[in-house]
Amino acid sequence: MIRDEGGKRKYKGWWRPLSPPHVSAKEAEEGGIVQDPTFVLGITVGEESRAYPLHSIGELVNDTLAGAPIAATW
Amino acid sequence: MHTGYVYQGSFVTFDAETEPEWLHVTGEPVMGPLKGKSIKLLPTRLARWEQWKSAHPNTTVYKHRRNWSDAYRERVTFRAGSSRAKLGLNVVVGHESKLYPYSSLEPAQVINDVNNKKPIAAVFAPSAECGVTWLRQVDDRTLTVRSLKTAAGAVRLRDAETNSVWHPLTGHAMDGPLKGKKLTPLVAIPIRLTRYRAVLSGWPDLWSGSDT
Repeated sequence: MIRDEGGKRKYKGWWRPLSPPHVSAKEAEEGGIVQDPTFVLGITVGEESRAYPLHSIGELVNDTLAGAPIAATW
Repeated sequence: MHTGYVYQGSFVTFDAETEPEWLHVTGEPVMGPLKGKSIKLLPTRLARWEQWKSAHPNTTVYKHRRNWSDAYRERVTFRAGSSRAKLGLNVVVGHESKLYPYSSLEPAQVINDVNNKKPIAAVFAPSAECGVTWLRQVDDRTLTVRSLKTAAGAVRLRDAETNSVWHPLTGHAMDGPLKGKKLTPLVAIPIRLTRYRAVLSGWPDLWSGSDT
């Protein structure tokens, strides 16, 4: 852990929005967000599914799916 | 949550509210005021887009505001696709986990096993290049599942007890007496074989041996 002399965290990490935008599969393909052979991290919560293209995750995405707060990382 | 630094070969995440450092592959804090607690791990799939979309046609897709270069996208795809031999599937049931090297999953495509007293099936879907794990139990009935190739070349699962046919990525029974039922997904995290002992010291039990 990296802290300064006062004990406060020096490195604050990468901030990401808590409700990032998402689009339909069709929009994602037409917009070039996903195209085979892209790998995705997929998750289903309740009746809702969402795909996170690996190249766009960076390290972590805070999101909400089917009302549940989730953090996608790999 | 945010990402911080590397701890025992894995990224550590931390939250802005309480500031503990969470090891993201276990959901447990490595230090901080919440040490001893854990966040809930959810079942995810690392799969090729076409197969994920085919199994989940109503899926939405995370859109990052940045436009990634084709070169970066191709590099990530190449790394994910070419590193399979170096990966294992860390299956978590309760507070116990077991690591299944992809190399052991691929030949049979299905391993029926027991993890933390729960009957599980670790599955490798070759078209999606995806490892998936299911609780092979429906209505208190334990099933033994095998892979099945359809005439069209698609991989499905069939249980020996009822001959029902299951989709390997969604867990839905597509045909047979259990049609309409669904298997329960388990947390299964792809992890580098060379890292798991350092990252998960005291956690995984490495699968070896034969199918149950």
